[in-house]
Amino acid sequence: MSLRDKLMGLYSAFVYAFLYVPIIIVIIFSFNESRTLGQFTGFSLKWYQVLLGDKVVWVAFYNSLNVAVITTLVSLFLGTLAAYGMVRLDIGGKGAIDSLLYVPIIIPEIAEALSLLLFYKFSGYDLGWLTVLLGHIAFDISFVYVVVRARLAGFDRSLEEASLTLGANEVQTFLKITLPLSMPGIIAAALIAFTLSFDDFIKTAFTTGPGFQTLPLIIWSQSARGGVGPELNALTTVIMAISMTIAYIYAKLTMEKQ
Amino acid sequence: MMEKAEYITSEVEDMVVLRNIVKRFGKVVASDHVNIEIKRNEFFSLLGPSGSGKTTLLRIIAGLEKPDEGVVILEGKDVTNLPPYKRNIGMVFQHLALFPHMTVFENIAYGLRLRKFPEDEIKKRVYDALELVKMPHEMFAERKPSQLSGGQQQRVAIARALVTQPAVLLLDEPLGALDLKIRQHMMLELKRIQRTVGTTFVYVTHDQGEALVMSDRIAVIHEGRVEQVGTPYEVYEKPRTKFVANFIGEANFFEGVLRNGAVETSFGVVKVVSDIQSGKKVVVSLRPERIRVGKTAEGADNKFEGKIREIVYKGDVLIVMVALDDTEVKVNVPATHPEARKLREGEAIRIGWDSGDEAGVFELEAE
Amino acid sequence: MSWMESLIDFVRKYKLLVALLVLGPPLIYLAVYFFAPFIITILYSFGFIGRRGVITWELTIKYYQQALRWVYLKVFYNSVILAAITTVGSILMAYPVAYFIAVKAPKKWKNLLVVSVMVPYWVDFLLRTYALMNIFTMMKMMFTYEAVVIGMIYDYLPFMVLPLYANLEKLDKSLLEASYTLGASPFKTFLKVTLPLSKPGIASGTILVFVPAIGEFVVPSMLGGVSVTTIGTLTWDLFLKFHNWWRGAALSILYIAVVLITLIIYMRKVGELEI
Repeated sequence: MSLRDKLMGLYSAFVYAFLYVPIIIVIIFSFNESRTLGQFTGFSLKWYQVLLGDKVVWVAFYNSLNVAVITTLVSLFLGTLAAYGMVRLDIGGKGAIDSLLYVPIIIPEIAEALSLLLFYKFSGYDLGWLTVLLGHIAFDISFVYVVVRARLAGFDRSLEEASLTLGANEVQTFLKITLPLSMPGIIAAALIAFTLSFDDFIKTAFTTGPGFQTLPLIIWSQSARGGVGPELNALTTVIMAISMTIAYIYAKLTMEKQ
Repeated sequence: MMEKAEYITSEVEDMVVLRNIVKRFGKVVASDHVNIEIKRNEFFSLLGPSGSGKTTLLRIIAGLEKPDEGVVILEGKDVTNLPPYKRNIGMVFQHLALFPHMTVFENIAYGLRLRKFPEDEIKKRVYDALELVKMPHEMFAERKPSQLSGGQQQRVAIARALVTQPAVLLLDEPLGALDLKIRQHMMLELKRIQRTVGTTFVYVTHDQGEALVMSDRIAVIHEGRVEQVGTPYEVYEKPRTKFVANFIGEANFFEGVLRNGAVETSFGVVKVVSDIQSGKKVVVSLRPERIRVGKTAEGADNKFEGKIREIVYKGDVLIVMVALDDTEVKVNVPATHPEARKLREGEAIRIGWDSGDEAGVFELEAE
Repeated sequence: MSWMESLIDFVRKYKLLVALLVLGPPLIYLAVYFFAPFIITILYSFGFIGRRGVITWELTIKYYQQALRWVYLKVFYNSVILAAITTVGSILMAYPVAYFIAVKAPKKWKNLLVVSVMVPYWVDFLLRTYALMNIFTMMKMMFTYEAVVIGMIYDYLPFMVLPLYANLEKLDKSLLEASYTLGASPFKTFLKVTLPLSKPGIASGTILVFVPAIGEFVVPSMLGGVSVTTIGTLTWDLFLKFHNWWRGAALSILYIAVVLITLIIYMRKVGELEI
């Protein structure tokens, strides 16, 4: 490799370091004995113990999980329905419908968040779990739609035609051929939908009501009040672990497809 | 081993009939009043260049496309409005379309499972089908399509389509993706399989070599219309239109006016046999291998003296480009010809051929 | 099977009805929980007052007038500047990495390298920004503009790396080889061949970074505190602190309009965007 290439490699390594260092520091300092930053006084799991005992955190975790799971299921169903409809049905105005379906992705999150808030105020909804959930679903439908649609577009129609010529009707073909083969795409969409909901902050902040907390909200409020701290680091580490595990599964799936 | 008798499902003479089929895609007419009759046990090819509409016809027979006009009759029944799964057909697709998430066994068993055959019957039939395409089931039954070579996938696709014993097997350019040697081998294999099971094969291809080798009869398709239907011999030796003469094999074309059994061309008078009216403008087509040279050209009806412009050595044949005045004629001289070694570029040469079947004559159409 | 067959025949005949059944639910859901809220936001920007369906409203444009005051335009301007710095910074950081992985790295490593870039990004935005807080606190850099810039680039980097990588990956290496055989040095080849051909990738990345960055809230708020104000922090404050929904709505509508116009211009010039 030439000198130029070596320099480029070095620069890339620097960028990689830039990416990972903050995360590593969070992880390291979640195991720190004392509260002081910048000095690692000793290895300790006590902050994790504090975390385990913190009721507020557990409730928030349950809330985040709860909302994420329901959001995933509903948006997966509606989004996949939309994707199949758009790809398979033979109707006019597809371009317009397509735009309508992915507009939510383009619009800035904070704009969506505030309009949901105004909508709820006008319609008289009480802010809380339900309002958060409904907002998440709306946003996730678009994401699921885009992902599943992209996967469907690359689907080999002749496989379905072969099934038809072998004696299967449209429904049987769908169940035995189309659905199994679209599974990786659908699962990928489900994972994205889950992560987006679990990690969501802005929409949740705008549409939540008194007493309903999710994990990102906790991190936000506590860091705003007390700044950086080892319990937060511990909490962050835990959430990171969950996100990374999901992402790892996702990557494994997309890798297999290739 | 599958017996021939088990495959023949009906007594009808014409297995597939297309009557007045018209199919349009937007402004393009893919099929223009097509009439074809395909007989029982035939290996029938639809031959034509890309975009000629041959695949469309195949898909109409399969039920994957619906014709705008016309009728499709299978085994004597009108199936025009029936979906593919209600027609007694099997199909091998251009890119094979083997189900990637199933093993070879499951792929082949797919159609049988749908017809609710008992498990042991399915096993027997699948193994027999694999044996028919010469793939031992112990080795291949449990593999996935991605683990097979192109030729092996090909065989599985055929086995899958045949195991349900359809009345007609439709093949859409299945050999296109294979290497030359494998393709040549598969051509003979397909012929063997067809002879063994007796099913009517309808084969689509743009490769005249394939069609000529495998078919009992060929339909030459051009721009959605059937130009000619005949045996390989007929379409090659007795082309009925200029397109067929040009598409199948090679031909030299001379234009001129037909008068009294001869055509006045730019290099001389060519004697022909034809029942076209005197006085009409015609095109004479002459195959390069029908032209004799040197001493063997002595007794020919048509004799001309020309100059050798170029010789290309092709191993078993010499391609000799001969100039007759301003016209260039391509002559295939077999390497075994006594004078083959003496031919030199730039020298004079005598060429000749007999009138009659050796040269085809067609009316010149305004193009 | 006969009921299934009659169902399929039914489907074939009543295509429109089936379309409604299939596309209806998702569209209706979005209509209620996405589009309706937007219409209400637009109404609010014009001074709408209504609660639980009861409307007392005087149409007014005073909130737009307020939103267009110099103070707010300055905030807009600052947001755009910040977004621009972020975009340029992330291009400068992302391009060499993307180039290195796409062009120079041996094939076996490519997937792994790309995934490694993405791994930190599977972690939520908020958490990553919080992680930066650790470092900045240690370095006593909290609540500075520089911290915000670094934070923005850090958070938006993958949105620039991926499109660049995808674009460079598809680059036909034989074009570079052709350039070398024609006498161009690697540097010249880069300038005249690679760079122009990677324009679509740069464009995608820019859109994915610049547009959302203008309205970014989390980073300026967490790392900059009160010293850095963007459209995002402003909107947040207007809504959740001062409860001035009307001015906030007007501001948002303006912001959305800017975003949409930018995207339309982009799409006209380039074509479609891919995610």
